[in-house]
Amino acid sequence: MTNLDILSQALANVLQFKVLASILIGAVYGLFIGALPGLTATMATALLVPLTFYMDPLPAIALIVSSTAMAITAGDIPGILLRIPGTPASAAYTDEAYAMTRQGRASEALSLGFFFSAMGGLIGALVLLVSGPLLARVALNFSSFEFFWLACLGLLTCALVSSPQPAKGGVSLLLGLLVSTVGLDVTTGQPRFTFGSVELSGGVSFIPVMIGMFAMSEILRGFSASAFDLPAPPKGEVYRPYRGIFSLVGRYPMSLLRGTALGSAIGALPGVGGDLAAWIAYGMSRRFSRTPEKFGTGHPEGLIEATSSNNAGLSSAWIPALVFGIPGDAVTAIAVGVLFMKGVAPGPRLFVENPVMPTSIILSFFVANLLLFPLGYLAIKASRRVLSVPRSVIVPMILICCFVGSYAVNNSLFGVGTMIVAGLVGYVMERNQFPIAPVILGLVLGPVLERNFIMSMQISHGNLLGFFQRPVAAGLGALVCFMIAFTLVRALRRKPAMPAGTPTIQKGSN
Amino acid sequence: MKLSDRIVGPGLILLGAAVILAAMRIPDVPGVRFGADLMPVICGCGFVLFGAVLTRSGLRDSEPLAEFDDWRVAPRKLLSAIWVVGGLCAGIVLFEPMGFALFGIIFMAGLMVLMGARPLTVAVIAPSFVLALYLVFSRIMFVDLPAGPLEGIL
Repeated sequence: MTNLDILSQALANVLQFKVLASILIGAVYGLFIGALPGLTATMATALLVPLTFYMDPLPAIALIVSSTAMAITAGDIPGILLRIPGTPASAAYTDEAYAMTRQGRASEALSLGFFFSAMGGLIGALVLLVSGPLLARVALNFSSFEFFWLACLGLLTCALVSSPQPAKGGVSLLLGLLVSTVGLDVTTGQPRFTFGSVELSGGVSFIPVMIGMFAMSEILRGFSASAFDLPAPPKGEVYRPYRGIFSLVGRYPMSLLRGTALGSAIGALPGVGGDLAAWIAYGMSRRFSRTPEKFGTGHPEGLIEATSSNNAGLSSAWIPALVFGIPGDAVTAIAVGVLFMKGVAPGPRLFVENPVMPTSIILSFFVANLLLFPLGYLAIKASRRVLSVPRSVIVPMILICCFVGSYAVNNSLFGVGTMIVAGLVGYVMERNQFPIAPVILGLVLGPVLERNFIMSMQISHGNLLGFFQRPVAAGLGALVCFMIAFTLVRALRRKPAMPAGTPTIQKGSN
Repeated sequence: MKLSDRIVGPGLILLGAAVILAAMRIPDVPGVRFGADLMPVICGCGFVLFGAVLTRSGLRDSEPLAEFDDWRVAPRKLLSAIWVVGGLCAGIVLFEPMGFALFGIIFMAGLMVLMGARPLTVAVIAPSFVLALYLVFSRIMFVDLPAGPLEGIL
């Protein structure tokens, strides 16, 4: 069978009514879940699994693919309008987008969020279709050393860009890493910091922590007299979806290209996923920008790069999942489980024995991302009403959603307790200018970092020079060391201490 | 509550020391050179290091040691904050016996009243939103939300 035959058969499969209906239902469902503050794309996907019991393999996967793409994109809506990011990835640029809303540019922020997410998703799907196997082969050659440095790069970038005081960003990051060590140790299986609790043995899930730190702490801050309120509806702002979007494409073509390229490359790495891509993309955009001083003040450049890399990473996270059966992130892990449940074993043999199936799955990405344009248009129009709802109505609604969302992760009240503790800690942290975002990324990437660090230490017998012996690892390691050295030198050169009360990027810089 | 770095810094040093001590109490596994204690020890050292940096910068500034948020000007906001934290904590205990719907309606209605919503708005929105949420999560998404005394009605 030639490649063209495979492609045409796959296209015929995707254009079946039941597959298209699954994609549409998944997209609307994803839009609904993603737009609700506190409910995440991973949760949306996990909650879909029982429904897939009754479906054929392709519609089941198409449902998951479209709901994920839409939920992750729609996760930007509460981030943009209420400063409550829907996903860990959208936390990377929430403050930038929220700053635009406070300037009365919510329509522009929403438009570029949907448009560039769709563009990133389409380009990512193209990469997945054309060069997936090749990229996966390259990623397969990566060892624990490269993965360790890559995780370090993501964490370090996040800690540095999220606060004007690197020490405070570092403390937040360490807090996330420390919380990620709670539970059974990834290598020896020993319990750590569990205090005899069965629930703590399973570790601390990042979803309730994220809901608590971003949603609950934000609401608590809104109650205190000294804090700013949630945004008032920008008076007179007319929501015109996608207006002026092509001028943004013309002004920042490199941001789109760099974001999608980075997202595709990082998403393709097994176990890393697309979340990291948004963080690195935002940091990279700031570094390469001609106007870095505008970042944090409602500047679209970093937003374009991060949001396009986010969806590109989402698509390419399927490369290791489909080609090697190694999930790229939590969502693809669930999807791989569904494929196994349907008797479809992802891996190299799938491309040999049934090449139409992976191609069909990839094509469903194109349809799902194309749907982002019209559904995004409707979402932008409808999102205006979110700001029109009085605070006395929306805050209790959000809190109830947070409660259900934290509970639904594991059907356990432990999640609710975690959310409350995280909310209070997040409130105190933000009041003291400690950024919250690095805590979340530390929590998500902590196990990846630790597993690869311990493996690398064992391989090199504790010799740290072993971390620089492979060419790619040496390059990544040198980059990390350079970033640390650069930050230290800059901190030492800065004569006066950071003025008291300097707001963090987390707090909104405008 | 805003604390000066003169308090936060030493606090972080103490936290780091406590983490290192706790990590050192994790028993070694025979034959494993880099075990479960390595990452917590690194985190602990990081806390000590950054704590020292913040202590140093805190000594340079002249901020008060602690500043408390002024809740007195808006007692309703303070009551709302207490309702949020207390209500969510109470929810953990009351979730099973009361059921999600009943607890949710009381929690949401109480907060709406405290935040100044009109009685009619409260009477319409709180029950309809919570019941819709209950039905979506329990019936469509199969989340195991307890019905409590409303079992059989919902």
